[in-house]
Amino acid sequence: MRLSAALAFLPLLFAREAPASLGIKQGKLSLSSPDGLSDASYTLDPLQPLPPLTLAEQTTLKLSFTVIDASTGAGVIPDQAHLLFEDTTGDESRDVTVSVGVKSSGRASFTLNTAKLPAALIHTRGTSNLTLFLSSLASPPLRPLAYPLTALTLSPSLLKPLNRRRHDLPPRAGEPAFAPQEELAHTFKKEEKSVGVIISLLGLGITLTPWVVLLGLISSIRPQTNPSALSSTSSLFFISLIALEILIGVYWVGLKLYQLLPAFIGLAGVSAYLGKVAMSGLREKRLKGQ
Amino acid sequence: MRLPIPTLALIASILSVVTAKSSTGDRVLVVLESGIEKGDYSKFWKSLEARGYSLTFKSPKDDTAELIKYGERKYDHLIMYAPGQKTFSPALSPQSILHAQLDGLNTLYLLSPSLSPLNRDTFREYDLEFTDSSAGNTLISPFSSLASDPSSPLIFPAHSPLLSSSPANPVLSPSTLSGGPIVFPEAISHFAGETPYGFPILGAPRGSYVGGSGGNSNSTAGEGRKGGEVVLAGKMAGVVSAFQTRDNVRIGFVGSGKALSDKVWEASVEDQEGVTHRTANAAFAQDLTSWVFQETGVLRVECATHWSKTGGEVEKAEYRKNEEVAYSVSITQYSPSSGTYIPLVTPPSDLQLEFTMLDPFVRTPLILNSTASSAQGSTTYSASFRAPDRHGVFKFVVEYWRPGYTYLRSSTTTAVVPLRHDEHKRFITGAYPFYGATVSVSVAFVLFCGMWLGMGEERGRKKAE
Repeated sequence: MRLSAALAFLPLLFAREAPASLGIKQGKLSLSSPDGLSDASYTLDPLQPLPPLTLAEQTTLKLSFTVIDASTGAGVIPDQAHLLFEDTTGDESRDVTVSVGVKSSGRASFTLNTAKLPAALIHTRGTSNLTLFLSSLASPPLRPLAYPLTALTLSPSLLKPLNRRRHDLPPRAGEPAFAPQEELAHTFKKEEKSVGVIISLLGLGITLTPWVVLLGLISSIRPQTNPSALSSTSSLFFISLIALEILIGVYWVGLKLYQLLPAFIGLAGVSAYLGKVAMSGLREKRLKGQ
Repeated sequence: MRLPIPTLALIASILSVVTAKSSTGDRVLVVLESGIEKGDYSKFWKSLEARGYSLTFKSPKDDTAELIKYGERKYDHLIMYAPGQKTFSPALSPQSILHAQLDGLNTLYLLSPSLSPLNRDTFREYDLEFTDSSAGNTLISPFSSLASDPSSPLIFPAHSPLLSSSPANPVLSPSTLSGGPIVFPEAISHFAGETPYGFPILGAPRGSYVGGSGGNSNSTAGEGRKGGEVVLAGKMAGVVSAFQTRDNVRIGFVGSGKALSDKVWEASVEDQEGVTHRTANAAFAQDLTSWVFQETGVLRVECATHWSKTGGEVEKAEYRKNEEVAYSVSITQYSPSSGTYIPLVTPPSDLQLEFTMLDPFVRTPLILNSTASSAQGSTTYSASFRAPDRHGVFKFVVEYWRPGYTYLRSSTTTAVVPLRHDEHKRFITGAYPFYGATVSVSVAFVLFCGMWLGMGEERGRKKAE
């Protein structure tokens, strides 16, 4: 939008009866290269904007013009003759301004050799809008001129990485970051492999095979037990032993040691007493039986 | 007499502006060099006094202008308008001012092209480079200036380079940004270095350059000069810049002290195209002094909490490896009108939480929690993550470094420990054979006892027989 607005004023600067303002005449922009393939030459004409230009390696851009008082046509040495390479993305921190030499006759020339690019241009994005600024502080005052030239692109092979700006991420870890940093997620160790249910059940089956053997042979062994011969003390002792086993099982599943010990000590004491009584009774029975 | 509600609201808003207070105090020392008339800036002083500041005026060589006495700061803010001063009293020397700034003295420097070498060297401490006055260092803006005076640039604040990444410009208010131009008569511009603690507020208009105010000898063109880069030109030539130290002390630099003069305070001016504008210098002065004097852009961490998400949201002193952890932080900002801290007006969306042990293990974004914010009267952010499977002493770290806002730093220490011996899984599928064996032993024991106790009389009798 700034380009078209500036262009709207330019015809006035080239008119014969223009107001007191700066203008240019004999403006020429040329490209040259050793092989001559990208050579081009353009005359600066506000009514015919220049096409976008691309500078490859070994290319030279030459700009020449004469600064004049547009009303009289006389050559003028301006106080300001600058070329602004304006970054097309709007990042003003990447804009570069260079000065243009002007001779006493008002003749100005600017040469840009891609073999010797200024350091400031090397560290840019490479695409810029080129604008010529001319102004004078002389009296009587002359209206300044902002002449948009063309869109210029530098070949990527000419460019180097952009310089770090003040609020980019810090170059070293631990320094204050003025922008959001890369998200980090911890890489967790793989969960330990566990034995599968089927293999575990297979192992359980192998572990319990003696019971199968026992149950199979139970009819052959036929232990000579006589449950009716169990005295009351023996029964109580047997029940206390079963209770102890159940208590140990419950502790194994869900109790803490400090919860187990009081109950275990109590029950063990009871079992010991009942066992002593039961054994004594059995001993007496056996002795009587003899 | 009952006033209608809109009238009451208008009165309240006017009163709030009039009584706006800094969060760090209202004692201002103003140092004016000889040659600067206090009366030429009467509107500026009155605007500060109307906002509740008490001004004390001293000269640069006044030995009684002590900034720190008996270890206590005598002033909360300093306005230094002595750009051409070659020597200062020991109390106002650059070293004394720097010492006071480290103690919390916010400072506003008003400058002019007649910058003394002493001041030029001092400002290098803030990474600002000013040109030598012998080469001409007045900012000249042929394309945006007062009519027939290119050395009085008109800068439209909407073109401020400040903080496109932030939700709002922390220094210039929306009304100033959308308002008229700001005139900077006889401005000096500077090149701001790359320190992240400094940032530009206003740059020179497009097509500006630095030179003498008249004559070709100081021009940047001129016979024979060609091809060199012009550093101080266009937006790269800083006019107003700021610096905030790591301790959140604020320093402002205005390239033209005359921008605060009565002449351009709220004046009608004509630009070089003949268009008349109403200057925004008064609004700019209010915005800049509000920022420098810690009224706006002041943030504070109210509280930070963390808890375990597994086993019912309980705040814990230590977490287990792989445990789901949640964290929340509440932030407020200072409201100069009420003098209190209120929820953030424009909450940022780029806060991050780090879970750190020497280096960050986890860095995750903090999400705005609207429900908790409205309940607590602050802006609450929260995040959750899985604690790493490394044990050690970790910290929840929230750091927010953004130009123009108070730097936030919050750190909470916690520990990540392995599972205790009784916190592992009680039973595992691979141990079924062992469980079977254990139960077998118990069952076998019970059966054996039963069989032994039940060994009958019959056998004994048979033996006897």
